[in-house]
Amino acid sequence: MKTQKAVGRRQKAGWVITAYCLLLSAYCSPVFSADGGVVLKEVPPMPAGTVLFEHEAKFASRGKIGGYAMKPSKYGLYPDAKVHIEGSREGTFIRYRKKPDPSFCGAYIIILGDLSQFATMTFWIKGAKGGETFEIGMNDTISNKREDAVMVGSIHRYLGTGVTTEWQQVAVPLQDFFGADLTRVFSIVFNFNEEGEGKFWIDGLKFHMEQLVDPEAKIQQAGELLLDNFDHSNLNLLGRKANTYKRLPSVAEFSRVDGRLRLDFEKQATGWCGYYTLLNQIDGEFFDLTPYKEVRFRVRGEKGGETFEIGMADRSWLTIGDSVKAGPVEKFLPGGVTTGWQEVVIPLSDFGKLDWSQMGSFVINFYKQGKGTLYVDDLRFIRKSDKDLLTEWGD
Amino acid sequence: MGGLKMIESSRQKAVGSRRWVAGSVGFLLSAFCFLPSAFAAATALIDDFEDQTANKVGGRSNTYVMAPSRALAVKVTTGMHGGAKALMLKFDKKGKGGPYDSGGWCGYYTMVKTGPRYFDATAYQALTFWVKGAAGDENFMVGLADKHWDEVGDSVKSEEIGKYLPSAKVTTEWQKATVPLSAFMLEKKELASAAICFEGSLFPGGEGKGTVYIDDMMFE
Repeated sequence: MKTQKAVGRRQKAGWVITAYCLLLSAYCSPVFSADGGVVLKEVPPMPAGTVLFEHEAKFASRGKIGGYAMKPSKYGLYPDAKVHIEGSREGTFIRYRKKPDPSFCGAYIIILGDLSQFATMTFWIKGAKGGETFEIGMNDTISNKREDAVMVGSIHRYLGTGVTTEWQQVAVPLQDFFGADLTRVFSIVFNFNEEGEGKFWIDGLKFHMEQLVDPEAKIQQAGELLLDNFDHSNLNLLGRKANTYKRLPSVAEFSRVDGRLRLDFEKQATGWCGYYTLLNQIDGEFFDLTPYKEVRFRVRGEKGGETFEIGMADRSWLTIGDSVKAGPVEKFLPGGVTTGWQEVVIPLSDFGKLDWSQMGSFVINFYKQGKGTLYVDDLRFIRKSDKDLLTEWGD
Repeated sequence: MGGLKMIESSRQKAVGSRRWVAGSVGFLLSAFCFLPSAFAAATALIDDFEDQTANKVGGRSNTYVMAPSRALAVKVTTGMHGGAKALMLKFDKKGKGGPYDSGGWCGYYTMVKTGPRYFDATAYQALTFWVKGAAGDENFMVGLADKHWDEVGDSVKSEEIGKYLPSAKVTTEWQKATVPLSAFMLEKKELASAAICFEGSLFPGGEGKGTVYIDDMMFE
């Protein structure tokens, strides 16, 4: 897997550290606001006795912003009194130039607070051109020390239209930062994971006790769960991890190319290889797929004729590291994979007896000896309609 | 993102001239929010089942089942008590099979906990809702969970629903169920969920099947 860039790597030798340590504009904004919530200044402190390294205690103060970069990637940031939301004195300007991996860059806001009583984080964002993109993450005081933030995915997960040249409010459920200790939040991270450059402003960071985002609403409105469109992050749109699996001499690698998943595989006579994307949080809740009836995705091959099996794993199958296969792709595409895009539709009943209330992963398994490249896009699960549910009930 | 329930619109102009006015309005609104709880509404609507998504306090709702028992929750647009929709709950509680050969379990829950915050119901005396059955004589208990019961994934059960209904049983007409919170030995300050529980002890041989309709669930 292309590992998530360890964010917050500010002090490693050879890395360029250009520390702009500025007061975050939100810190200076009015405490009261019409949309509720509290500004950073009002967030309770971390519990007494929270351990900080000496340099953390010296360097970090609530509201400071900074960044990290490894050459040739760059970042820059400063408070901007000319661009801000209504009621604020200044926004925070951030720019980035992300070069190909392994070079990286990002920015962060120091929180140093107890967010455990809050349900939602909001902030406003406006791009210079629109289309600016980054991943959102959080460091607690432990993950900050090991430089490994909890990432929740791209800004596009929370702003369907992405960043535009107008101010838009972003709402992030704090429960999405699964695994972080919300009583000891060190920083919020903006990691520039996609190559390119951009400029944008953020302002009005606030924390709300109310659950301002209902993730189910979008799913129910669309009638489907879009698990991944492979556009902006290696995390799927539930914020879960995805990766290839392999046992030598068989190998598989994944990358995202033009908003599609690219799988390069070489299945040998022995070993195994494939790709999985998780529905569950690692060490957390499993996903309830009982309201869903089928899985769909688009696929094409580099040459045509590529083959694979489609599998799914519930809690039990995930525990033993395997999945139940619905069958080879030809079962659902009678003509097989071609060089043109085709949609694969698989009734979940084809996966047999799984515990659909506790699902763990979706799998593409290369089971036949051979080598090739496969492209996949728009992986989604279709909900049952009320009519489907009543028919299934069978009075 | 869909479902974003923000009070403000999605855009703001970058201006600074009205800062003082905005600040003053914000102060007044904040002051309003900090009024003593005595001024709080006498009821707190949990769900009127009008929306297809979260309940009115922002929590999720769903059926809970353990095979071979089954439950199905669908919002229906006919025969509702008020508004345009009601919740239809179909249950099929089995008497055999499943864990301990007790037939499994089934019911419906709605979370009143939002994110990490539990619901403070100290200002309320009862959980109320409207109920009717498809055939009449359907039976269930009401479950309520506080922080501790939430952590073990269970709830404290009331007595049979009939005790809380004017006609002492579910009928095919809408009736208001009033379940005193004192019926539950719970920490009212930290409530997590309410539930409709089709317990095996309610049915002969532990088996029961039917359809009930629920509407306008609230704390009063």
